[in-house]
Amino acid sequence: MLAVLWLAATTQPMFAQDTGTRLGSVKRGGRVDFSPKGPGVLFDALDPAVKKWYVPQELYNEYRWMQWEYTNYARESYQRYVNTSQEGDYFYDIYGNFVTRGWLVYDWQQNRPQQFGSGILKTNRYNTWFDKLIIASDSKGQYHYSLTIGDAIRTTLTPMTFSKPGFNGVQWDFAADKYSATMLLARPSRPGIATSLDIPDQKTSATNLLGGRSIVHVGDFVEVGATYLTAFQTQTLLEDFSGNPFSGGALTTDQNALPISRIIIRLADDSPQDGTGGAALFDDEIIIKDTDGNVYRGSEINFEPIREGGFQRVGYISADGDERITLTYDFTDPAYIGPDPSVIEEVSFELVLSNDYRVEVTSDRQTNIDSQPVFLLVERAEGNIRDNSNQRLLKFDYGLPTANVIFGFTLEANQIWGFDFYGEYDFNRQYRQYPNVNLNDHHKAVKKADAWMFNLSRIDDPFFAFLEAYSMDDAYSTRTYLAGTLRQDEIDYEDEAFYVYEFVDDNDDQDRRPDWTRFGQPLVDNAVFPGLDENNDFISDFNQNDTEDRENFVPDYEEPFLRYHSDRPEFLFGIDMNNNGWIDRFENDEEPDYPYGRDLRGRNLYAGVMISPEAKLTVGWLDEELISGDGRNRSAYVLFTYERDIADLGRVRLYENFRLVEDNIADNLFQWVQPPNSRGTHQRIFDPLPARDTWVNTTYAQLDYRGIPHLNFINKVKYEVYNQREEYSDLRGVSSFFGLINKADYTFEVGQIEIEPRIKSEFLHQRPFSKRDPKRRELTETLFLIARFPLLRHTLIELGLELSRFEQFRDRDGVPLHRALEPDSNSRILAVQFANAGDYLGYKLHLQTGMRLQKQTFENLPSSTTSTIFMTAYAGLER
Amino acid sequence: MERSLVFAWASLLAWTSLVLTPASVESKEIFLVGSEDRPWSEFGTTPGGVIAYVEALGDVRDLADEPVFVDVPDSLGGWLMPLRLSPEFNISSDVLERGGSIDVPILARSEVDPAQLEGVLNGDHAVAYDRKFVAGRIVRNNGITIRLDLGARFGVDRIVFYPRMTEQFPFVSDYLRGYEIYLNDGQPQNLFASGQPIFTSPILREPDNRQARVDVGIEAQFVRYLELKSISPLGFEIDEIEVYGRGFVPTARYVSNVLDLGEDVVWGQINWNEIFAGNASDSELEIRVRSGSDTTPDIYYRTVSVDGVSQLLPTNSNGDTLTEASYMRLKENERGPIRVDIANWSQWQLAGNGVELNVPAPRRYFQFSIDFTNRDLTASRAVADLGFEYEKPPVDKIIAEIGPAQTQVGEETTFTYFARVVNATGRTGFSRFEVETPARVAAVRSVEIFDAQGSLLESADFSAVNLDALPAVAGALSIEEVAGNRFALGLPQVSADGALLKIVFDAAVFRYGTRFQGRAFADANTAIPLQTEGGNATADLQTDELLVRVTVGSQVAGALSVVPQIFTPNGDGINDAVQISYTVLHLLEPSPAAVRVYDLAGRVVRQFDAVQVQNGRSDLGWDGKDDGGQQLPPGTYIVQVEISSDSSTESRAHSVVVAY
Repeated sequence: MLAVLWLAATTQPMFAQDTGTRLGSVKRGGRVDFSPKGPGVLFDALDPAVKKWYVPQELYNEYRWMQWEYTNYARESYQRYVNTSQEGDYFYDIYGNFVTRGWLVYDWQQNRPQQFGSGILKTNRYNTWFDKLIIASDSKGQYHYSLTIGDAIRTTLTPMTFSKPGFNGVQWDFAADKYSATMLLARPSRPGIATSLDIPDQKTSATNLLGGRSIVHVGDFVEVGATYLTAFQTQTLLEDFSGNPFSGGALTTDQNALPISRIIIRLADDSPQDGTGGAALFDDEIIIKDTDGNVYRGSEINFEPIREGGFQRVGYISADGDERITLTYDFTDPAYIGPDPSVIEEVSFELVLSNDYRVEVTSDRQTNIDSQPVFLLVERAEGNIRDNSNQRLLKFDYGLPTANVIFGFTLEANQIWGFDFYGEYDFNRQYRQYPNVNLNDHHKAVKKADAWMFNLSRIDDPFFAFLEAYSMDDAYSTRTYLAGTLRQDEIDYEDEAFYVYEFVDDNDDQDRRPDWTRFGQPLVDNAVFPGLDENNDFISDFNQNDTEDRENFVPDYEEPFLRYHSDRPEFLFGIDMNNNGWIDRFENDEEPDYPYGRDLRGRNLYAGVMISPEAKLTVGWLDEELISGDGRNRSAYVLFTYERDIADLGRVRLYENFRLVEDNIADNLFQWVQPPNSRGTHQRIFDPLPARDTWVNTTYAQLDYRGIPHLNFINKVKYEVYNQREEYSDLRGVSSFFGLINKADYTFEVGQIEIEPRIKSEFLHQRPFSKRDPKRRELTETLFLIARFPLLRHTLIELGLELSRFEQFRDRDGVPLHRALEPDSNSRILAVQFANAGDYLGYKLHLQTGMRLQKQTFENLPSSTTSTIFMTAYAGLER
Repeated sequence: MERSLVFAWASLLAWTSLVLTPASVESKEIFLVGSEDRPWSEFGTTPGGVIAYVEALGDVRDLADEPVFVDVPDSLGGWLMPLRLSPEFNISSDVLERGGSIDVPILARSEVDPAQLEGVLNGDHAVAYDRKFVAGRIVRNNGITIRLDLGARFGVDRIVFYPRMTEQFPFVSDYLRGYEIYLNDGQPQNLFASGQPIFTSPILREPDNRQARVDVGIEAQFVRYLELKSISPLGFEIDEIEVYGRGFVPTARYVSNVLDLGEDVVWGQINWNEIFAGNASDSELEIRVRSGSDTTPDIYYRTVSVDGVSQLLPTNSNGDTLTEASYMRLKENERGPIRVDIANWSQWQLAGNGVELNVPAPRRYFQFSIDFTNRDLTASRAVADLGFEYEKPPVDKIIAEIGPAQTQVGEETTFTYFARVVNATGRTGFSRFEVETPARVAAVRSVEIFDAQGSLLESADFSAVNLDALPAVAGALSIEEVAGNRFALGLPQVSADGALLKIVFDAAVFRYGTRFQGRAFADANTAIPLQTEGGNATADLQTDELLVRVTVGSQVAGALSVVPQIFTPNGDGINDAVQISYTVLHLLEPSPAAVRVYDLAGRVVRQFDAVQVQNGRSDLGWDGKDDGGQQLPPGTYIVQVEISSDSSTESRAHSVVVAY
């Protein structure tokens, strides 16, 4: 004990609280410098003794710790001497300059040649501190730039080349008075996911994205732009500049691991529904080139494919209707005497073809996860030729997909001789390479496709005119395959969700989530309600109570009480240029959001006059055609609109759209269909082609009366009729839709109580397009009563009652209702809500609790009773 | 009904005429399937078991006991037709035997007990697909979907499902509380590229089901896939899913056995008797044929993985060649493709009723298939019998080739045709030889016959022969006939093995891949010729095939000529008319051609009726009169030919002078 006390009295403190400048050297002026100095020597350690020094110099300097000393922290508790997780690490740049003491947030490196040379590290701080978004920017004078690293950046170059609501990568933007530019970088196959482990995501093969756009202002009115994008596969085992991203990238290690032993070409009828005039194959030839440059033609070495399927005609084979012709070239066949597959550098095919062909190709290296071959499109015939008048020699090289490149130009001019112009032309090059493990550079094949559009408009008050023309090849593609998203380097050519990257996303509801499932993107939409978003909250106005935290898959027009304000889309007015019976702005499809459809070429011209500030008359002509089919849409249309706000009275709207249409192009949709009284779901809707040769008239009128204070009176009527000019077996001669909505609400107060009665009536009379669908004559009448009782200063009790009756009109008593029709029903809903809105911790806290009871009775069906009880708190910034 | 009658009896007469042709005059024979000697049921199989063998078609009656097929010929019996469902027949009971399946696609395979799913179909009421809550097990049932592939398409009008409700398994309360039923007809346009069905809107939806036994009727429709989806989170079980329907199945196939003709034969016409029920336009049948030289037309492959590489082997694990039976015993993921044995068998080819078969010959083995397609539940076809002609070939085979293998389209070319006789078995030989040509030949220059050693046996020079005055005889050789699509030669009996026939003729080729098919007839009474095969007939030519290629192209309007260029339509019998000749190139289908005559002011003075033209040359005479029949004044006129193809409209023009 005495010894201990003596030690305590005589021993110097073992550490200093002030670490001072111990972790850096002090320079003139007291500045601490952390720059590297290289190995040095501690003067005190220069003892000519045999014993080795095993305590860091810093600990000896600061704490006088020596390796033979006993450590006892009884009185002075142990304190960690360096805690990098709290105070950060020291970081040096590539020149060795000290950068900062802090934390690594994001690091993307690519080193070649080596295994796993492509690595992206997003540390957990990237997530938690910066919420997956880092921005570095600077400016001087007119020059500005910004470097953005993010997981969901809203990025658009042009609508036909790159447009994503959630781009995961790096975006560098530059802007000056006359110039602006953007560069995009990403590794979409593994964009990196921040985890608490802080482990870089390292790959040997990956798919990288490199792209950009620059704009130059020429004069005051013209803007010229150029766009370039390439998504290419890269492999870090390759040296130097092999796998140039600008010329097709590289095969992945998996693609190049084994030689191809079997190639299969499949020919089919591109318009199988007509059952005739499909692919006609007259001749086929394979051309093989080995690594020594020798060229072998199949006919010379008697290397014939196994020809299966098709109808044998005189001199050719045809694939009509659902028939397929397959040509299987098997390099492992004992009869094959060409070069060994391991020394094949290039394989080409020549096919003499005609009629309405569709050519696809696969191999034993182009498979899905189950090793089943996946056919990829090579070529489709233009039009629907049946008489051999498009006979051609189709040549193509086989290879595995390695890159997709798009480059294009834009021209925008404003107010030149009164005209506004926007034009865009884009070239698409899809690269493939033939694998050979003995080669670093592989033979490249390229498939070309183009797309272009322009808009020209002029307003010369009161006249206006607009012309648009467009064309997009069917093969035009803004997608690429992703290498190794799930398993090391492999590609499943069939799995779009995990192995396909889209430059242009499908996002018909224009929210922050793409509509399709793709790897490395923000969460997919569970429900897509395309349509109006007039309040710009990224939520469709058809489903206003759908939020990220609490998803709601029921459109408002189906929900109690909310259904007063929201009306069904079929009761509303809109343009239907593709004549599929759905208003264009309410459509959802499964295609990228190109401004014009793929495989379509057309022009649309309209001109009009503003008859008065409220009235507009437009006359136009649309002519578009399928490029690879024989579909065509020709429409002549007249559109009259009248919209007037009358002070103290209300608003009047009148729309009249009359058109003569010949449209046999199918525009299929993927719509959210909401069955009555049930849960909705996405369903594929096949275009019934209701306007193949048809007069179509749509009339819509709306009167919003506000002449009496606190009374709103809204009336909407829509009448649409399709009058077929020819008889069709599946279509009614005259199909029509008549919808009438009348709504009124009035708010008044009785003492402190606010009472709001509402009434809504919906009448529908429809003769559907299809003869199989029954006619509908339905009436829905709904009465709402809402009363608000203020209890205290911030507390309300709200009572709501909704009574609704739905009724089918029958032609005769006793006729059973068609099963596709909804039965008559009554609905009674009672809701009570206790609401408090108060301040709490700087937020406006809204606390709501209550219940809702609903009883529905159906004709010939059991009734149902449902209830909802809720207790909900919202923290807001405003009321 | 009238159409039915006409059709049936027209077909019957066609067949009767074939059968009654005295076989003694010709040496051809007829192989008849569907007769008493060769009944349908013993001479073929039906994938999916959806073919019905019916002795008397009149016995097929509907619910009102009305005959479904009307005007059935009394003389014919033993009919083959697609299965017609009775209301009591549970389609799902033999789904698995039919090649269909039952699955729960949204669950991993490890989460599904196949025995339970099989129990949903087998009617045993002991095993059920169980999604009930059990302690310690989390069962999420909202969205669980049972998919049934019926294995073939049926006209479905009723669907029944229920939990086990027996004394042993009293689970009546575990019924499906909310469901949706989706249907897919299995048509290619309603399938994803992967072959999976696309389900759109539910045909039935019941979010609040109160019935343990759901028995729902639907509008009768063709169904291949059915999905039953739970839309309730509550647990349930399904003892059985029963599917009922009516009417004819929409598609059915009958595949004959490999028919052995005893020796190599050549093929003649094929004929069959068919009759239809319902609207004739709502049903059709297609008959495909193929011939071969052994008893195994298909090669079955097994997928194996060797060092991680997928390979196809035609043998089982014991090294034995896979047969259909052993192939079907393989696990599904081991089954590779089934490919035609192309070394010994031809591809399937479509056959026409009363049309000569166009499959390789001579061959010993023959096979046919019948595909029934019905577009309406009430419509179908039935076949009474099917027969095809065959005959012993005059020689074993004839290998032929033609040169040059390539020429200019539409240009008269001198072709040399070699035909080498193979007759190791010493057959009787042939004395008539025909060559198919794309148009009437301009000249048959010479015919020569050599023996196997190359010594000239017979020769004739026909260069100076007028082909409009036939036959032209030169010694033992003659030109018998020249038609628009062939020419025929008379020969001394050619039977020697190795004998070589050399024919030189002038012809034009109008499209890529024109085949100059040769046909050898034993004698004038022979109905079924031996077709030549493309191959190496002589070392003098390297083409080794009968196809002649032209430059690949799509220009359909060929040369236009007007002869004479100056004519005098004054009725003196000299140069009173011109002949307008034009060629049409590349077309496979007839296309409209319009011929007009313009004056130099651009006015149409004569417009000929538009005609449908095929590949080849067309001729038209013009007498110098206008559309009103008036003689045109002298002057220069322009003749224009306009040919409309699917791709474009092309025209050619030529001047002509009218003088008096």
